[in-house]
Amino acid sequence: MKRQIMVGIFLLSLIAVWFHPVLAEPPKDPDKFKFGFISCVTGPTAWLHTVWFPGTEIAIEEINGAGGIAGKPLEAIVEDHKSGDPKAAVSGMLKLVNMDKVPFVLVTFSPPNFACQPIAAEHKVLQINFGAWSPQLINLPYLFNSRLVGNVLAEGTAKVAWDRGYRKAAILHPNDTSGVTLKNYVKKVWEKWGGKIVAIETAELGASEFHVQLAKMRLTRPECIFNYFYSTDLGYSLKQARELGMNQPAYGFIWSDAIYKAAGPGSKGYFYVQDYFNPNSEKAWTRKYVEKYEKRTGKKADMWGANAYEITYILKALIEEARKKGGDYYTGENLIEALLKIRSFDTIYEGKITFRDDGSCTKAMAVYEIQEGGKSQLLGKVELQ
Amino acid sequence: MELFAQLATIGIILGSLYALFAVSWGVIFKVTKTFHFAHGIVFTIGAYACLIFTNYLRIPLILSALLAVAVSSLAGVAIELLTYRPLRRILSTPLAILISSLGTLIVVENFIALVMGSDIKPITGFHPKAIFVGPVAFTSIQLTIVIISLLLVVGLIWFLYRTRTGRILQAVASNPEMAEVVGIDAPKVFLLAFAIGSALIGVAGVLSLLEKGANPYMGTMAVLIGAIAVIMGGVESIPGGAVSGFILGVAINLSVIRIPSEWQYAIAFGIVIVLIILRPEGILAQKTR
Repeated sequence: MKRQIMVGIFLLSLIAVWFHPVLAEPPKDPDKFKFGFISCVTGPTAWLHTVWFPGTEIAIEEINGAGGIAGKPLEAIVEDHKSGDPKAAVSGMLKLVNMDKVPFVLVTFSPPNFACQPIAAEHKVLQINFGAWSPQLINLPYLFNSRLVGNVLAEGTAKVAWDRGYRKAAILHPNDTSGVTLKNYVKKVWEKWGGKIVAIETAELGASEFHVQLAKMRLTRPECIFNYFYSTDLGYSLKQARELGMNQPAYGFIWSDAIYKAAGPGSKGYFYVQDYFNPNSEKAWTRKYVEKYEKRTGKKADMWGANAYEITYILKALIEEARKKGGDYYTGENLIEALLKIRSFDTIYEGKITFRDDGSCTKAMAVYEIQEGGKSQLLGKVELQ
Repeated sequence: MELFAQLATIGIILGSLYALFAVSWGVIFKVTKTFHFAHGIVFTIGAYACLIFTNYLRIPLILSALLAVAVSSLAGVAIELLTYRPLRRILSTPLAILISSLGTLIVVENFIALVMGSDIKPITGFHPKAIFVGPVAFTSIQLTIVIISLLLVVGLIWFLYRTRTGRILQAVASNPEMAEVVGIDAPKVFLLAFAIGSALIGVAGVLSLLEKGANPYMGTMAVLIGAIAVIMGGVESIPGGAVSGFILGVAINLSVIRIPSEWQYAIAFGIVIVLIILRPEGILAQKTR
């Protein structure tokens, strides 16, 4: 009897140590909270890296300037996917997980995200996409998205065009995974509502010549054009459409100074739907970020830098939550557990960002119109049915 | 018919520019037998020089363009003096010279990206007018591209075949050792070939800047198109290179009149392969027995 009582006390003590945070193993903080940032450092879309990486840099400086996380600094390790090359992305990812031993990686562009996700799953690393929009980037283990995925944005562009009374549309899309998926999705949605897709044209990502595609599209007399290019190729296609006398409104989901430089006055009459980042927000946090970003880069603050800034702060929140577990807490699994526990995070966007089980997120969405001089005018929020 | 007219117009515009790429690269290759990959970076330097003179130094556009062409010419000569000539002196293989040329292209274009940024840079305040002729649309700068390219191509051909200096260039191209025996300074003629070819690609760089803006990687496609057109037209034939460049530009556009446009480059280069198989010596070259 006495022996049974002793065993019972011993087992209860073990359970108490295991579950009680005060008695749990103290947290083993790393020297630095390193994380990966796989981006388009070189190649035709290298300008995008100079737009979004400063967001992360500013967040890191703020966090480290305030003492870091548990007194330890945050550090980003940048790898280059050369403007979307999956092989380069995999090379960078393997180095990050095997040599740098990071449990958290930010990845941009769809092909690199698809290529890196199996590695993230194998090594139990939390991978977050904050730039790509392919609707296939959901329901993939260890991958989450901190921006609205493509089918949501594409439906947003269709909704805006539909509400303006257009019924005959054309689609111009890049000849890659994202582009083809978006084309199929928006065609399905548009035709389900009763509209007609009169032309579908495609070109390679990064193309600078669209005259052939636009000449063929012009013949079909569309009332509006859904344009799903997203780099300077978007700018060239807008410019060349106007040169061919095509004055239909174009709808997409990206805008930046670099695109305006390619489009010039051809950008007038372009509408885009995006995660709703308002640089003129009344939120003090947002205004402070915008001021720092514009001073650092000389560019207008937009959603790309904001996404990178936001996700860096989300990482901080995840680390702080995971730290409560103690021991070697800085792991991908602990970060995912923290993400699914907290779910909704404060952000410099309007409202909050909330992560869902399928890896997607919900966030405010709005439509903007490009005016004279490439200025972006917020028209209002977009609410999907 | 409307589509054919529009695509043919775009083809003529692109073909004219490709003809200029071809003759500029062709004159250098014909005379010096150098596979001048770095010709692409001379194209880029021409564009950026015009951009800097116009946007930053506020020099009027026409003068900026002329200065940019001069800068391109000097850049080409510098590449010959600093890269190729030292390699030839130590009897390097053509492959070593090709690799050094490719290396020069990569290093300089990434240097430009580092200094100027990798985003597109247009000429500030330059907005070409759209011109409509029936169902066909093009811009004032595209019309300028056609006129200037054709004038320069014809001018170069006239220069090579109708002037003394042109015949000297052809003599060195034919046999540099024999040319030296008869008193022609072959190294100086090499420099002249680089100066002329680089000036021509500098003009193309300025025209591309005006049409699309400048970016550090714009030269790679230009040199590839130029080389392909020269090989297609016959490496000894400058008119052949011009005609091939023109055919390539037109083929890229007209080839997809009835089929999906994502096939345009596949079909255009398929035509190139067929032409090379049927006439490996080049479209306008004489058949070798």
